[in-house]
Amino acid sequence: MQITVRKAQLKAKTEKSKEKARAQVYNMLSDMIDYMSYENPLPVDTGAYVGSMSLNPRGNRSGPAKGKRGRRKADPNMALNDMEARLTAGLDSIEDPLDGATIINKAPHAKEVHLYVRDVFAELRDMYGL
Amino acid sequence: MSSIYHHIRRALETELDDASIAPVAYENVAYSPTTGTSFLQPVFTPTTRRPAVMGVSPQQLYTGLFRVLCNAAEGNGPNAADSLANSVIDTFEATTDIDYNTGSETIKVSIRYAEKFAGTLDAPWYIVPVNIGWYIYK
Repeated sequence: MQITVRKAQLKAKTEKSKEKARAQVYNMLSDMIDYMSYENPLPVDTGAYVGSMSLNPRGNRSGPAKGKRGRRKADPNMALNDMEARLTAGLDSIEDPLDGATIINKAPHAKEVHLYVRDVFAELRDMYGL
Repeated sequence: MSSIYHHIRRALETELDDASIAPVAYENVAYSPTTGTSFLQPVFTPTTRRPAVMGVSPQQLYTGLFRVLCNAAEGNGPNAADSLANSVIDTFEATTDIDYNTGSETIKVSIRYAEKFAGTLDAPWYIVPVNIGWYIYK
């Protein structure tokens, strides 16, 4: 008795698994965006911190770096909606989520926020086991 | 029942206080640090509360972070803050279970991990954060 698996069959199955994994990574990143925007929204004062949050293909450290000096108080809902839209656009622009993604905040005062206000990156690492 | 959060906080803060590593500056409590004297700043951050099983009135799995900022005097090298961080990590070593009596029952907060991050200078302090991941089924 023998079982023969055709190469084409294997290829199809591999592609199917990859597709599932791709969707899972996409959903995970999308959940992270929801967490920061709505579920447990990031703190907003001038909006410079949330305005400096970016989601890029893995290793890409580009993005806005907004300072808080000279800025007026921002509307939290508007600032968070903008961030959500920007991060989602960043996620959708990633060709293959399986290649990974980088979430980065380049605000000059990001370190201060993470130390004294809220370290959302530590929260995400904790929640998603990263 | 969401009222368990304050018990979790007390369990973790009591454990930190009992370790007598350094004075503790609790959240939202006035604390005037003495320049040059090390102190710890805990920050309690719950992250998720999810049903652990299916069905009606399920047991909940709570998870979160307990962040301890180890503050040591600036300009004296990293040893003092590192040593505080090491003591905090030893107190909250992974797989440690912390029993806490709420008055009506004993809850058990379990530690998933404790990890140290890079130090930051914020005059007059050099600060080393330690992140502690915790969970509890209730």
